[in-house]
Parts: sequence; structure tokens; C-alpha cells
Amino acid sequence: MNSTATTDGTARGRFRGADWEAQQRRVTVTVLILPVILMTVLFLVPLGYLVWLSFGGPNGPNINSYKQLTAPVYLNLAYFTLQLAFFVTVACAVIAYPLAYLLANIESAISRFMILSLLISLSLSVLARTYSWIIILQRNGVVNDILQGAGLTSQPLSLVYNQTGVYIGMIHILLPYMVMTLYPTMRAIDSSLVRSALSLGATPWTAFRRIYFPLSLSGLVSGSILVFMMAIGFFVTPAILGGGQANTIVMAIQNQVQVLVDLPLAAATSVVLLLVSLLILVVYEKIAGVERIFGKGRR
Amino acid sequence: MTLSTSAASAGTSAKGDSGTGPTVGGGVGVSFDKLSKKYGNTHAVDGFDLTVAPSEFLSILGPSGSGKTTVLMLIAGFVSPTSGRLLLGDEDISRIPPYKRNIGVVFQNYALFPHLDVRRNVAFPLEVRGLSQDEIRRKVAWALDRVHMGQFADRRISQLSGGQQQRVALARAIVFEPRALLMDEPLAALDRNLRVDMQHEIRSLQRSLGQTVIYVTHDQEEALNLSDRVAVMNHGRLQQVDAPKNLYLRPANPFVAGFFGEANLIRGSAESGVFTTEHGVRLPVTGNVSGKAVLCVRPEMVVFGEPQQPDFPMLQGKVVETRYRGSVLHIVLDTPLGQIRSVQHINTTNTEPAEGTIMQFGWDPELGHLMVQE
Ligand SMILES: Nc1ncnc2c1ncn2[C@@H]1O[C@H](COP(=O)(O)OP(=O)(O)O)[C@@H](O)[C@H]1O
Ligand SMILES: [Mg+2]
Repeated sequence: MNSTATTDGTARGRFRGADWEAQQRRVTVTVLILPVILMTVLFLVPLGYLVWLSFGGPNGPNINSYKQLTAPVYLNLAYFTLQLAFFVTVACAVIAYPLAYLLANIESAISRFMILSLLISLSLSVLARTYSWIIILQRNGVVNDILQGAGLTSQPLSLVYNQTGVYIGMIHILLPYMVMTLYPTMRAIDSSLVRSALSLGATPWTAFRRIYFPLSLSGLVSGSILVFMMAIGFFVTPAILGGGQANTIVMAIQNQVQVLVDLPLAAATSVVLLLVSLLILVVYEKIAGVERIFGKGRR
Repeated sequence: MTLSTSAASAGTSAKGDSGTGPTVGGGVGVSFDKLSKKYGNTHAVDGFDLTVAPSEFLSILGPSGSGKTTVLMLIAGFVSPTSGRLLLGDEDISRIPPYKRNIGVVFQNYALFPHLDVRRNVAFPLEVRGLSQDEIRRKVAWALDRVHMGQFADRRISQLSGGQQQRVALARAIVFEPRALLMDEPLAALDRNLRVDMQHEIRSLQRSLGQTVIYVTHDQEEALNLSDRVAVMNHGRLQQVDAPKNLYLRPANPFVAGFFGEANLIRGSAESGVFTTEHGVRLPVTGNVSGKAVLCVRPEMVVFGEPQQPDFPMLQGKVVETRYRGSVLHIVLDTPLGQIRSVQHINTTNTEPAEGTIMQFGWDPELGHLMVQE
């Protein structure tokens, strides 16, 4: 008799539980409908159209456009773009790491001011920031005035309308993204970990190398991925500061659309670019998956 | 200010080899010589004068903000003293960087390396010292065994409970045979039962290794349970350094008296065995304090009824409050000395007095403790 009562109670409890779960599911579904519709209409449909176009569109399906992309001119463009993105990323990492370290570890009005400046610069238009580099770097600009005034150079250096200008401009524009990814990771590293390493006999360098750096690595990797992906797709800065000497793959897409009017080719180029970005993300996901386990014990 | 540093105070010079490195099976002494640390205008640590004997278990006890952590950070070397000297054995370590001090530190939040597993955490101090793989394996196994964590060697830190993390932190701090072991409120984050267990383990570990331990806590029970001596701090200053029993029975000043348990503190002045309260009541006392003084009478020393000895002072008080707390009965009296609290053990013969009852009370003058008023 007793057991009957228990079974009965349990059954009723389970029924109530199921009811609650069903209700939860209904809420979840309702809330998700709008984003799913938006994603489909604004993202998946255009993407599908792009892929369809890249395989010849109405004349298709063929892989003529992809074949065209294997021409040396495109391979060179791709090579240059990857190389540009790579060096910009490395430069950003090298500059941002000590900068973020100082910002994260030194409490002062200056570091707060610098973080604010970085945030503000992120909100400024890339176009404005790029044009301001022309003023700074041009033949009679500030930098050349200073260099000549100090007697370091006799001739004005050509710092803009070439690859140098593109590097300077892109590093400048992408640096805040690297700092802002590194900063929170470094803030999250408990300072007692490094102290504890020191008390255990590690020199400051060993403590950095074996404790601090590995724990900041996830931020460095995320920042690098972010900067690299942005650098691959950068258009404004290389177009304005490059003076035709720093043509990237995105500039080629513009050319394909506006000059060659070859939409399938432009679509194919875009698809390849997208795949490269996806590949990087997958690699990142692999690394971040490991990092997530690492990061769990962080306080 | 009176500092009673009676118990184990000498002994640093006894070990000839104390400055040369880890001593197997024993720590070395730690001496503070007028050590001070100022942050701006805050005296975080003010004129610390103290000698910790080799293999002694000393607790630093004080309210939050009294400078306990700063003392530990000074010993570990993360904070440099504004003035004064710090000796480890007979070596002045005031200017030696933390990584050359050979002092184990257990941090309050354990500070285990989250990206290394238990084994690698404990191996860390040995790896940076360049020991051979064989030695490292042996010592890590030994240390993990000491804290009963042998079977968890391959776990990630995030897979351990708070108590287990505490043990790993302890193993990591003793594995390189440090000259002294510092712990900053290591048990504060654990629940009560676990805390008591860990207290026992820390104590037995310290005994068997002969390790010198300086243990910071704000929990007086913990300090009294664990320590050979307790150093009581307030506002960056040492108030008293003494064995647990003396802190209760012979507090050096009203702060210490109030810090350990309840105390009836009666202000007045003393002269040749007689204490005159602010209200003019004269009481017999022992001790050779004269001038302005404070008389400390513990609640459980207050007795009721007829005088038991001829010189037993008996006074009258009116019961204003009674309260049962577990096995004891608290009685608060209004008396010519002000409010007096008493604690009586409950047995079959005593009954709870009604409020307003006039009662005879007193205490053995031998047990009343006289302190100089600052
Ligand atoms: N880095 C610091 N900068 C300024 N003041 C500090 C610093 N560290 C501690 N203090 C001050 O020193 C005093 C003692 O602090 P601490 O040693 O942490 O006390 P406890 O550990 O006993 O709580 C406090 O008043 C605290 O505010
Ligand atoms: Mg503290």
C-alpha cells in the first residue's frame, strides 16, 4: 500500500516536471523565432545566392570562375594579402602584449586614460583614421619634418602611398582590437599566481614564461585570430595608403565588380575568402577548446 | 606597552648551518628587528620586534586590516620594509628577492597553477631548482603522500574540491624543504568541519617535519588550537606574544583581553594590592601594578553566594538579564562596578535567577588580572 502511494506521488511529480519542461521549451522556441528568421533572410539567403553565383549563376553550374582564380595574378594577390595580414598580426601582438600587460597590472590614472583612449579610437571611423595618417606621413608631413629637422635624413622619406604606409596604418587601426582582447585575459590572471611562483623559487623570467604567459595565451590567440581575419578583409586602408603598391584580395573583388563586371568571379573570390576565414575559426575553436579547460581554474 | 615574550624567544643562534639552505627535518628561526612598513600615512606594520624559534608554530592573530598579511608579505619578500631588519636564521634577508629566500607560502586562495595538473604543480619548485627527474618524482610522491593526495596526482586543479586544493598547496609549499612556511588564512574558505580536520593535519605535519610555521588568521579558536605561541596584532602593532593559555588568563592590555572571549574590564587605579575603581569601590588584587590600571575579570570567574575565603570580596548586584547558551547560563548584573557579566555552568542545583533579584557575587582576587592602562 505504501509503495503504491509512493509510485503515485512520483508519477504525479514527473508529470508536473514534464509540463514545466514543455513550457520552458515553448518559451525558448518563441524567443528564438525572430533571430532565426533574421539570420535566414539577412545572412543565409544572400550567402546561398553568393555561392550559386560563384558557380556560374544562371549559366551554371560550372567552376570556370574558380579556375580563373588560379591565375598567377590572383595567387600573387592572395599571397600578398596573407603576408600583409600575417605581419600586421605579429606586429600588433608584439606591440600590444607589453602594452596590455602594463594596462592590466599597473593601477594608475594614466592606464585608465589609455584604456579610454583605446576605446574611443575603436569608435572612430576607419576612414578618418586612415586619412589622418596621410597628413602625418606625407612628404611634408609631421614625421618627415621632425626627421629632417633633427638632421636624421636629408631627403623626405616616402612613408605613404606604398606598403610602408599600409603597414603603419593597418597596425594602428588594428592594434586596439589586440589590446582589448588581451587586456581582460590578463586582468583575469590572479596576481598571487606569479607571486606564488616566485615564492617557490622561480625567477621573474621563469615565472613569466611558465605561469603568466601560458595563462595569457588564450587572449593572445583570440586577439591574433581577430586581427588576422580583419586584416585579410581590410579594404579602406590599403586602398588609400597603398598608392596601388599594396593591392589586396578585397581590392581585387572591387575591381572584378566595378571594372571587369564579372560577378561570378567576384563571388568565387568572396567564397574562397570566406572559406579561409572559416578555416581559421575552426583552428581557433580547436585551440580555444583546450584553452577553456585551462581557463576554468582561473579566478 | 608591555610585551610578554616569555616563552621560546631565544634559539636562532643555536643552529650553526641555518643560513646555508634548507635544513632537512627542521626549519630555522625568523627574527624581526623593529620592522616597519608604511603605505603613505598608514602604518601597516609598525615596529615589529619578535623572534620565532626554529620549529615553532606561531600564529599572527588580529582583526581585519591589522597588518597580518603585510607581515607575511614582508617575510616572503613581496613587500620591502620601510625600516628595520628581517633575519632568517642568522642571515639578514631584508634585501633578498623572494625567489632566493627559500620560504614556502600557502596563499589564502591557494594560488595553484590552473594550467598544470596536481603533479606538475607540486613539481614546480623542484623543476625550477633543476633537480633530476628521478628526484622530482620521488619528492613529489613523498609530498603528495604527506597530505593524502597521492591518488589525485593526475587531476586538474579545477577537478579538486577546496579542501583538496588546500592540501595540494600545502604539498607544493613543503616539497622543496623550505626554511620556513608561511600561511595566510589558509582555511578561511573551508567549511567548519573540514577546517577542524585540516587544523589537525597542519599541526601534525608541522610537528613531524619540524617546520617553522608562521600562520596568519583572524580566527582566535584556530590560533589557539594550532600554535605554540600567538602574536596578537592591532593597527600594525604587536599587542602581545604569548602561549594560548596566558593570552586568556594574563592579557597584556584591554585589547587582548577583549579579543579573547568575554571580559569584564573595570577601570580604576591600583596601589599596593588595592584596586580603587572609578566609582570608589576598593577591591583586593594581586600583582605589582600601580597607577592607572584596568582589572580584567572573566565571566566564568564570577561566583555567587557566600564568601568562600575571608579576603574574598563580595558585592551586591541586581540581575538585569539572563540567557541560556548551550550548557551555560549567562547572567548580567547591575553593580557598583558597572555591568558585570557572568557565566555559570548549568547543573541540577543552580536555578535561573529572576530579573531584579539582588545577588551576592565576587571572585577570587588571585584570578582577577590587572593590566596597565595606556
Ligand atoms: N598595497 C597596499 N597599499 C596601500 N595600503 C595597503 C596595501 N596593503 C595593505 N595596506 C593597508 O595596510 C593595512 C594592513 O593591511 P593587511 O596587512 O592586508 O591587513 P590584514 O591582513 O590584517 O587584514 C590596511 O590598513 C591596508 O589598507
Ligand atoms: Mg589579510
